[in-house]
Amino acid sequence: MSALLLRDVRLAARAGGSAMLALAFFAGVATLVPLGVGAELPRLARIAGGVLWVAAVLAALLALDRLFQADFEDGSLDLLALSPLSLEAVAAIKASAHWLATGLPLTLLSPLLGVMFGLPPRALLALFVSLLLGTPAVSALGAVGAGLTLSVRRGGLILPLIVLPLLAPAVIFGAGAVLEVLDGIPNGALGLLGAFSFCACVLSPFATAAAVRLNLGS
Amino acid sequence: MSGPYAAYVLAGYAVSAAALGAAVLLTVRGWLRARQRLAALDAERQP
Amino acid sequence: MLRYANPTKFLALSRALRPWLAGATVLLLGAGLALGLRVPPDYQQGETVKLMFLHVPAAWTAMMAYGLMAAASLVGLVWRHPLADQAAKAAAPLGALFTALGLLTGSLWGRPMWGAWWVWDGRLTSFLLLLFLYLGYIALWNAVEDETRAARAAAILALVGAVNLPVIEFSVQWWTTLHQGESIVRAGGPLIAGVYLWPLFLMALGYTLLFVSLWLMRIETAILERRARTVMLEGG
Repeated sequence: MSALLLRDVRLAARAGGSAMLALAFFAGVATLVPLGVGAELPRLARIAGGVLWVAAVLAALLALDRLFQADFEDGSLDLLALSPLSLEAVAAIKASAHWLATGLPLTLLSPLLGVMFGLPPRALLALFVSLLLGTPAVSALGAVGAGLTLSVRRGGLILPLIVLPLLAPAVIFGAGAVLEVLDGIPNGALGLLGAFSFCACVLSPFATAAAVRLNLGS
Repeated sequence: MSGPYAAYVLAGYAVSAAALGAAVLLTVRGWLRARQRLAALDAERQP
Repeated sequence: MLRYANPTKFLALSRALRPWLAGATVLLLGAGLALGLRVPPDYQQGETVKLMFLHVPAAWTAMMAYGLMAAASLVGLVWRHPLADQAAKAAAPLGALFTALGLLTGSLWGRPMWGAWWVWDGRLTSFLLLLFLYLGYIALWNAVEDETRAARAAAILALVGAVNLPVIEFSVQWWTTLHQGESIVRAGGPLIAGVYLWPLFLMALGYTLLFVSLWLMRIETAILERRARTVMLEGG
């Protein structure tokens, strides 16, 4: 079980792996935004939570279509399905590996980008915590999409269409957590985000496993 | 109907009527085609 | 209910229902329009109140269509019944159409009321997300080549969407309160005068029956096409 997790994380972490690409994409999108909307720090701080959350979701989606694809093509997914490990567990491990390779590095990088967007320290903390709480949900729900598009030849194209509306609550609550600090009006965003993320992480592996299963049998 | 906003109301009714009308037409056309095709195939099979 | 899972019985039932459904749809929509176009202008909204009779029924039908699609998906997934798969598939484009109509009429209603074609109002925004859910569902159906696999993948997506939809709805409502303090003129609030209630009710029922009529016809079409394919395969 941990062997599978380790293998997936190692694959993602090596040079040129999906982890580096996701991080570079995240930073790249975040750099383009000030160029597009102007560099006044007060305005940037206002939108930082939303922009960084959207960038994080997009960066996480980038690596998603390969989540099961390589194992599907070389047949190791069939072996995993036959192993004593249930497919639900495999789905959960795959989603965790995706989170360790994309969500976690993005979260760790986010305070740096937050500083560049002029966020005050307490808002940086809120951004960090919201990403830490929320990105697992992105990986978990994204894994469902990856499973569903497994046998689609260019699944990477419809995957975002499928997953993005499902992720709206994460973006709303995540950006809301940063606004809570900026506005000083308690809104309970972090609690709602945590609840959403928890439910998504608990329920998604079942949907992912069902999706992978239907693509395995011939 | 009159008043400054009548145009919006008319546009709303026109758009809705056009869209729903098109949906009805397309649905009926698809249904008729499927029926004709099946009938033709059946006739071909039993001359 | 399960008796009609047999395609032949379904066809017979659908055929028997058709004249009644079509007749009732025409009558209800006609009556709704006749009443709706003659209501006095609302003291606040003026003539635009008449757009409510289009917007609210479309929105309501779009939600109902998603519910029916998810229910059919569940039946198709659990009992592996092709008819349920076809029913779910047939509901999606209709649901997307009604969602789009809800958005369009909402926008036309919003322009004079709010002074903008689009306002990030809770209802409009969640309907935009609903439209994306429909489009993703349709795209997935079309993308997977094998039909049984496509049906099951789409069914899982519909169910995940159905579980997530209330959360999306809630989060969008929450988000609106976060960004705009003042409340906007809302449709379908508890304070609707009786003059407006009747046409609204008739139109909503008419839209519902229109959806059901078209839905049954699309399922019939799918069955007939499937049969034609079987005949072709047997003949060839």
